[in-house]
This record gives sequence, C-alpha cells and structure tokens, in this order.
Amino acid sequence: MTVAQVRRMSVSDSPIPWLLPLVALLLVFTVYPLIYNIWLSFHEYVPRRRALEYVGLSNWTQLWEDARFWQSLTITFVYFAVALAIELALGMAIALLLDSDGFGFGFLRGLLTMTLVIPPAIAGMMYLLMEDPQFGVISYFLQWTGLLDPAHPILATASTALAGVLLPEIWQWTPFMVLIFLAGLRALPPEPYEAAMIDGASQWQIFRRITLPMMSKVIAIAVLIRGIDLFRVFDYVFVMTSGGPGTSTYTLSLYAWQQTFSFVKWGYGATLSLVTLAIILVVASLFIKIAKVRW
Amino acid sequence: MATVEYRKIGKSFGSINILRDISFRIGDQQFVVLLGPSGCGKTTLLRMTAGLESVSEGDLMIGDKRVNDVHPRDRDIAMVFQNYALYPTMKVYDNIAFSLEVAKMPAAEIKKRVEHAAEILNLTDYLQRYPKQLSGGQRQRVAMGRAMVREPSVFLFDEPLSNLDAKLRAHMRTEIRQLHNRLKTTTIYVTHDQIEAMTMADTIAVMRAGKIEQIGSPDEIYDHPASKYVADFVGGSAINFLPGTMVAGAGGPAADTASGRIVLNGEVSAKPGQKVILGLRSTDVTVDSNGPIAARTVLLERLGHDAQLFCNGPDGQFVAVVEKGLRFDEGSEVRFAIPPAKVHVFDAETEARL
Repeated sequence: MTVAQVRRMSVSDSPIPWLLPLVALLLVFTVYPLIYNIWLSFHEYVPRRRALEYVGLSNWTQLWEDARFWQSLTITFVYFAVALAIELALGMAIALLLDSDGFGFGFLRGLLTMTLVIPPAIAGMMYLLMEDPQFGVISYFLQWTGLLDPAHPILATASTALAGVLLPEIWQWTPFMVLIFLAGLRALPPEPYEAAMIDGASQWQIFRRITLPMMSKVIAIAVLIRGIDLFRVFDYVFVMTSGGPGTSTYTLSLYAWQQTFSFVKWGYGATLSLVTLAIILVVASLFIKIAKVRW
Repeated sequence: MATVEYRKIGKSFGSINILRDISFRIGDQQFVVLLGPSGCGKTTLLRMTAGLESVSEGDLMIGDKRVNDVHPRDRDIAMVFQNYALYPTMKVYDNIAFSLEVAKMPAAEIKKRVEHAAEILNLTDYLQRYPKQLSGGQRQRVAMGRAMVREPSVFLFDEPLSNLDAKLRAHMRTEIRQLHNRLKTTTIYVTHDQIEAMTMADTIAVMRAGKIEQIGSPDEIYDHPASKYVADFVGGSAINFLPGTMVAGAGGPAADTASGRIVLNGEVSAKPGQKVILGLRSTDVTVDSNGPIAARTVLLERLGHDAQLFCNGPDGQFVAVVEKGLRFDEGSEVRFAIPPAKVHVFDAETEARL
C-alpha cells in the first residue's frame, strides 16, 4: 500500500478499514482454532505412525461410554453450582454491608480488588500450603476445632478434596461479585427507598421487593460472567490436586487437558473441549432467555 | 385526619442553618402550600415532616403526638415526590398496592382500594404496565394513587407538577385540588410556582432563606404582602418598585418618587420624611394622561388577552398591563395612574409592609 492509500483508508467513512485488524485477530486466534478443533475431533493421533488419522465419529461415540467423562461433568457441575451459589450470596451480603458513605468504606471497597490481582495458580499454591495437613493454618484450625480428622487431610480425602479446591475459588472471586454488586447498588436511585420507607416496608421487604428486583440485571451479568469462568475451571484443581485423590476432583477442562497433553489423544481432547464449549453455550443462552429482565 | 404543628423547628447540616425558628400550625383538612424559591428550605421542611430528614431543634407535632423521632412508616403520612419515586420493577398495580401489601392487608381489600384509586385517577387501563411505559402525567397519577390508597392522615407533596408540561400542570392542579375537596385530607404542598400556590392553597406559607416570611390565605398574601419580597414573589405579573419619601399631602399620606407624587391609602402608618419603597403591580396601574407617573415606552409585549407595556422611567423599568388594542410610539411619554388602595408601601430599610 502506498502512503496515499493508507491515508485514504484512515479518513474513510467505511467501517471496513477499522474492523479489519480485529477481524484478522479473531480469525487467527478464535475462528481458526475452533474450526481446527472441530476437524481434530474427527481425527486421532496415532503414535506409531506419528500422524493424525481420520476416525469418523468414534471420538464422539466414545463420550457416551466414557465413565470418566460423565464423572468429570458431574464434578464440574457441582463445582460450578456450589461456587456460584456461595459467591452470589456472600458477594451480595458483603456488598450490602459496604454500600455506605461512612468513613473508611471507600478504602474497604478498594481493598476488595486485592485478591483479584493474584494469579489464580498462585492463589491455588497459597491454599495448597494453608491446607497442608502438617503445617497448613486451615488444617490446623479445623483439626483444633475438631472438624477435621488429622488422619484424613483435606486434599487427600476424596470427600473433602473438592471443598478444599473451592476455598481459593470462593476466596478469590467473591470480591469480584462484591465489586459488581457494589457498582450496581451505588447506582440505584435513592427515591424508591424513601418511598418504601414511608410506605412502611421493613428492611427485609425493601431488600426483597425493591433492591433485588432493581439489581436483577446486574445479578444476571455477574452470574453469566462467573458461571462461564467456573465451568472451565482449571488452575485451582491443576495446582492443588491435579484431579486427585483418584479422579475425585477431575473437572472437564482438566480431563480434556489430560487426554490431550498427557495421553496425546488430541482428537479426544478436542472433542472434550468442544463439549465443554457446547454446554457453556447452551446453558448460557438458556440463562439469558430465562433471566430476561422485563422492567 | 390530623393537624400538623411546627414548634420552633430548626434544621442545620453541620454548621449551615437551613431552617430557623419555623412555627406554625396546619389545621385539620387544610391545604397548605409552602411557597418559595429553590434553596429556601421548603423541601427540607417537608422531608422533615415525612421523617426523611431529622429535626435539629424544636418539636414536630402530627395530631397530638411529637414525631421528631418517629419512623416515617409510623407517622401515618403519604408523600408524592417530585420525580414520582415509583418502584421501577413493579407494575402500576403493585406500585399502588405495595404499602398495603407490606401492611399485610387482605388481598381482597387491597384489590378494592387499588381499583378504586385507579378509577378516580383514570389509571384502570394502565394497572398492568411498568412505570417506564407511562407518560409523565400518568406516572404522576400513579404516585398519587400510591399515596391515596393508604388513606393517610396527612398528604405531603414535593413539587409534584414541576416535571410536567404547562398544560398538563394546569390540569393536574385542578385534579389535585378536587381530590382534596373530596378526600379532605390535611395536605402540605411544596412548590416554587406561585400560580400553583394561589390556585390550590387554603393557606400559603411564603418562605425565604429558611424562614417563614408570611402566612395567610392567597388573597391576604396577594392584597397585603407582608414584605417587598412577598409582593415580588407572589402574583402572576410583574410588580414595579419605586423608592420614595413620605410627604404629608393635603388629601392624606403621599410619597414623592422620581416618577412623580403618588397618593397613598390613609391607613399607611408611615411618617413624613420616612424613606419607603412603593410596590405597584403592573395589573393595577392604568394609562391615564393625568396620572402622576411618567415614563417612556420601550416595548409592547402581546400576551393574547392583554399586553405588557415596558417603559423606561426615572426609577428604571416600569411595566404596566394594558389593553392589547392600544398603540404606542416607541419612545413616547405615557402617564400612568394607580388607585391609592392598590399601592403597597414598604419601609426602605426593613422592606416590611407599612
């Protein structure tokens, strides 16, 4: 392109020159990998030939018979539901407490961003240490209160390992919920609250009938963002349990990772990640449809 | 039904005094308008009555009860807000029913009351809509319906018509007043619009900088303004203020102004030599070739049924409302007269009525 051509494009009224760079990025980093992944799901790597071979639908049919797939799907759903419910409830409660113009509240609200600057893998490492049966502070505290049997360390026991992984998840991401909810709460108009006070509503009635409905859009967005994040959880389980003990904390993305990179089953790994994507798309679209806020 | 009484009410935010020494009583079934410019404290006084602002000093009485520290919900009041303050996530029906629902009234009774209110306010067709699907006037009526169904003992209105266009405002004005005539609920109505005050009120309390300047019926306020400020603020048309000095004329008291000698009502209690300000409403002056006031025409503004004549006199601008058929050459001298009884006389220093 000549200088004149570039100049002409940069003053063009047409949207195309402005969109091209972004479209190029999307093509290279999103569309191409997606299409390649779909193509990959109909192939499988054959180590002795060191090549990908066409296998038809066998990766997809294999899913139905793969007990580990169904198990990891269940674990992912449990992880998703428990974390989302706790983060929502706790996030809203803390946001309501911090929604004040009083002295120091601005500082407290600023403090909330602290957990968000830590890489999730590092947070996972921190909790791995804190939950260590020998010298972890959480294990120590739980053993001291009698809630934890020293013979069954948190992360080494199948029944408690998932809860152990959920701890850093909730610790790190509840503040994110609080921030979103606070932004919503701070933007609510004060007049309906005054009207409700005169109308004789109690604090609970005001929260239930005024705050919650007015926050529904904000809550829906928070659920969507966190829900998608939670469904593809990888960092915490990878760092803390690597799916163990046994397969008790194997989530879908961890299982896909294992199939792809440990077992070098690229085709099956691609199939698993496509299933994850499909589930997220379906659940998210359903949610958007159901949670359509009318007012 | 109840009375409202303010006993030496004061309000301050930090060291700033918003209201000082407010004392007056509102009788049962009265429609009282708090009138004043923005920032005079009228809305603060109303919000204190509602319990949305604390009372810094004095006693606020509703009925026989001191309510300074009583929660808004226990004051048996209902309030209509300037921006309506409807619940955006509730339909019109629920907006109106909300206060009854939280009071755990039986559903059948709630339905009856809401439908009755909707009928009075012409909202029956809109009960299943959300506030944002309504026009300003309809939202306003929903806000009134919400206040009505509670059957409170006092209605509080905070500039409820200021967001409406002129025609709708005039319409709602009569509707609110008719509603009051029907329900006879004690009403406190805040506005900066003196026409609203004149047309709706049984009693007007004119406020200025946190104090009550004058309380009286609309006619009293208009015919006998207690101060230059009240004379200036109340009345739909302009008022001319002419500084002058009292003289003892042959036919009773008079005042010399730069525009001419103006004869005053015999009841004026000013002594000769006293500096005064004369207030002449533009609607009270007439064009009269023998009149005492002389001025040069500047502009004739037609208002439809009559016209406003702007003149330049020795005391600055002089305005008179004249018949619209009259013709004036720009810059020509016109003389005006005014009946002595219509001249308002104020002390030049205190600006109080003499």
